[in-house]
Amino acid sequence: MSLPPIGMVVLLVILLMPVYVTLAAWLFAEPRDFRTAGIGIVYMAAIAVAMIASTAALGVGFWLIGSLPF
Amino acid sequence: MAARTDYSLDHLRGISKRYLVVVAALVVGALLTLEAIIHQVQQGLATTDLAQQGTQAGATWGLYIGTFEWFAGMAVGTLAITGYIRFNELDAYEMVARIANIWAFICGISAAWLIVIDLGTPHRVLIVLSRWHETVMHSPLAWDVTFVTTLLVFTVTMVVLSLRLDFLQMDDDLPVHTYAVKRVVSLGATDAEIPKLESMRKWLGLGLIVLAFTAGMIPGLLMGVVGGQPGYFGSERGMVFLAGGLVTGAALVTLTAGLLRLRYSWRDKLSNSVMRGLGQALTLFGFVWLVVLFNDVVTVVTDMAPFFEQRIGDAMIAGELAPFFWLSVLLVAAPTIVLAAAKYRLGVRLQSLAAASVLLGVWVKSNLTVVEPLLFPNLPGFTGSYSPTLVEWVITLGAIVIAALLFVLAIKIVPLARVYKTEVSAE
Amino acid sequence: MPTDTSAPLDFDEAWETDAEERLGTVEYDTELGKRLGRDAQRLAAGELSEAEFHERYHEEVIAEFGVDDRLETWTSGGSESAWPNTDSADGAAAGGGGGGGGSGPTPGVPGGDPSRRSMLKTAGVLGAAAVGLSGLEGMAGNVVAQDDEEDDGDVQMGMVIDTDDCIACLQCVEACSEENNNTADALWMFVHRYVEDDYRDTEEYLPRPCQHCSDAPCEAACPVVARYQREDDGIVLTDYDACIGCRYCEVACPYGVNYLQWGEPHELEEFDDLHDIDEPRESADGLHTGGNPPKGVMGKCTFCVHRQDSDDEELQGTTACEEICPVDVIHFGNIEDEESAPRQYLEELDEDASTFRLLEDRGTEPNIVYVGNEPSPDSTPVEGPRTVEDMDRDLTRQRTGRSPVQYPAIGGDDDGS
Repeated sequence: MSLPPIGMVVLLVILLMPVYVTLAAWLFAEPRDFRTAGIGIVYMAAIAVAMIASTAALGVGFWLIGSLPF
Repeated sequence: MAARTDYSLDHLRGISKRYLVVVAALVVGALLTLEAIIHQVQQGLATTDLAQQGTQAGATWGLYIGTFEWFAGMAVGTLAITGYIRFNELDAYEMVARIANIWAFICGISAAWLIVIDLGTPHRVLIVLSRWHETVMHSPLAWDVTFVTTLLVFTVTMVVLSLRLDFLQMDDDLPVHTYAVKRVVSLGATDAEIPKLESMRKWLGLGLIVLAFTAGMIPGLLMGVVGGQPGYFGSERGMVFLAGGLVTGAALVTLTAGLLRLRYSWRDKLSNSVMRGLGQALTLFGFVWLVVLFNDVVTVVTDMAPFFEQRIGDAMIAGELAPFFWLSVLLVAAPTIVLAAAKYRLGVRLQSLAAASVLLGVWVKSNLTVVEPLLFPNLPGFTGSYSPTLVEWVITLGAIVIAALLFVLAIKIVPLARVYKTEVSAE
Repeated sequence: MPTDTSAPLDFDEAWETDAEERLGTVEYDTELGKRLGRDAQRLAAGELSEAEFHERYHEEVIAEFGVDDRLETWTSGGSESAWPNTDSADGAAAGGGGGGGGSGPTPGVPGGDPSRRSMLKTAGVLGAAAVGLSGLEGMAGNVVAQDDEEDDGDVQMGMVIDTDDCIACLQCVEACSEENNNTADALWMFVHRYVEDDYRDTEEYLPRPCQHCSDAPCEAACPVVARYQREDDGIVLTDYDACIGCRYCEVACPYGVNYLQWGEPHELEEFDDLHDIDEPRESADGLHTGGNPPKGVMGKCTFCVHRQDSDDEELQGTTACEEICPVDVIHFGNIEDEESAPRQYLEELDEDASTFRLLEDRGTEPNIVYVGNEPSPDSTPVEGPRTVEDMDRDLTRQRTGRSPVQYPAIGGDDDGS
């Protein structure tokens, strides 16, 4: 039996732990209110998409700077 | 100094001459930085003094990565402070939580763009994302990217969530730009969700704490886990980083709170007891940092340390790196001890000065940590040297200027605390 | 159990038991593993066509492992792959020498996708799947080795470098820089000069190309899979089109072999004019991997990959440094092959000759074997030229504005010992 790749452990156990904690508590902690929790999750997902998209935009920005005709 | 006043949203309204001057100065600095960035991206990293370690007697990483570590550390520290206050629902510190929250995001952003600037081909940053699923399995740098992204997402989520709650409990009498923020964060918000929102803010606070103390170690430990250089094999790398993050985070919040209090005299939200509480946190983390630093150094100065580690230890304690090393120790140790001796009653001005000193001290050490092992190669080669070029200095100091600019702009838009409705709504 | 190559393969009970034992140690389908292993050997022996083999197992492999990574290794004809038996079939078509080149025998497979050992190590469940597959490799590999005397499985290019004979003429450094059209400060081949802290005080030399490690820390560190070890011949390469120039590989490498292209590289045409090699910057994988890297991209010794992939058989199996060395210190070839130049050189050494691999305790499994005494950690670097050009001039570093190189005093006590 071999161990899974180290990165798998780091990702699932360490990096994503705050996500588990937060999402579980939002959904199941008292008072329960799936509407508000759902809105929170939608906000969080939208912010995540925005962050990744802006990283991509950063790359495009640097590509433009690099190809400026100076 | 103004008389004792309570917090109001006045800081969001109107633009004073003083504010304009500060913003203008910061914008000039930011534009200068942008020029340096464009220059470097076009010319390549040849504009830095970086070089291959060993054979070319240089250092692979320098000021950018050192400053990245510093910003990433502050992001982790301010993240932990935000999380701690929110999770424990310490309402007296609500303004401190907001300040720390905003800083966590700004520091995260600053760390992120500094690392991109340090790439040989910054425009290929997209490849990091497109190959993430594969590289996250083994590359600590991919873990770091994941961590920074998570940090940014969590900090913004906390800002959004806590603002949504604040706005529900505040009057609608907001300046137009703040009202726009309210519109964005309050989609579908009703008074009925206040109890749930309070619960969600609390648990997100726990999420921030967990993030700070687990993934928060990664920017430090990524050097230890695959680092082939002497001094990068310390199993305490993650802890050293975390300790630095906590003390700088506390210092940054203390300094900011101090400056805001000097400027606005908000004695209700930044009361004497809150300021002393911050001083206490700064002192505690200052001592933690010194203890961790001692443990870090003791491993490289004993005779039992591997040879290359000893050479680094010698250079730091008594050799060419000694001025930097002892400067950083002094800049952290002196204010920490003074704060402790005065039982955190130094007064706002001196406490702010102490915080600034700590920030500088840890910054110096962050740079040492990144550069020092690269100056001493494993194979018989040349002892390296590294003196950052003007471009590097401008971009590094510019990163700090831009971070300050972002904060100054943020506090013109975002309320720092609640101003309760005159009529408390019945629950 | 020597197997007659002409006789049909025989899978007796002992084979089954052995297979079950090996496969039982991993969490994947033992039965599938057994059948795969058996038919893989039949494939190798020519009893089964590749198309048949593929058709028979594709769906099952996907069901068990989530992906069928065999396609990757298939196209490259990778001899280090988990399926060494494809090698004999493919190898014949490709004409050896690591030619492969994306024109795999299986139709419909997207070409140009690099085949990389690291792929097996990564991508989720594959990390564990690799264990299952390498179990098969062991089983099938034995038979292949016995089957085919000419091609005994692995190809791992490597070097034997005899430091005792090195005279630090720096011809290898010069030849390397010229061959790869490198900028002045990128010394892919570097000759360390040092004295040991002992009574002798003789200057010693250690030529240091990339060690082309089998467990390369640079490869694990890379956040974009730009650094990889090639299936065909175990050469560690950089995908110039993917590298982001973060220099984490440089920090991860204990040997200091990585050189970033800080500014603009030399003109590419110049490279073409100097050498009559087709597409010198391309490797067989269809990737940018050879010659001087573009601006902001990491470069290092490629074992002259453009020569290995060249159509000119004279160039295959040679490197510029090996060719120029006037004292025959460098021996390059497939170190898995007993007949190769490096293996032959080791064979002919005195029994008490000292050999070592550099910083072996780091677990990097370097593929350069040195003959001579290993430099100790407290050896002291010695002032001296680093390039042929240096020999005629002042020893200052070549990048403008740099302070002079610092040399520790020989036997000085600033070394902390």
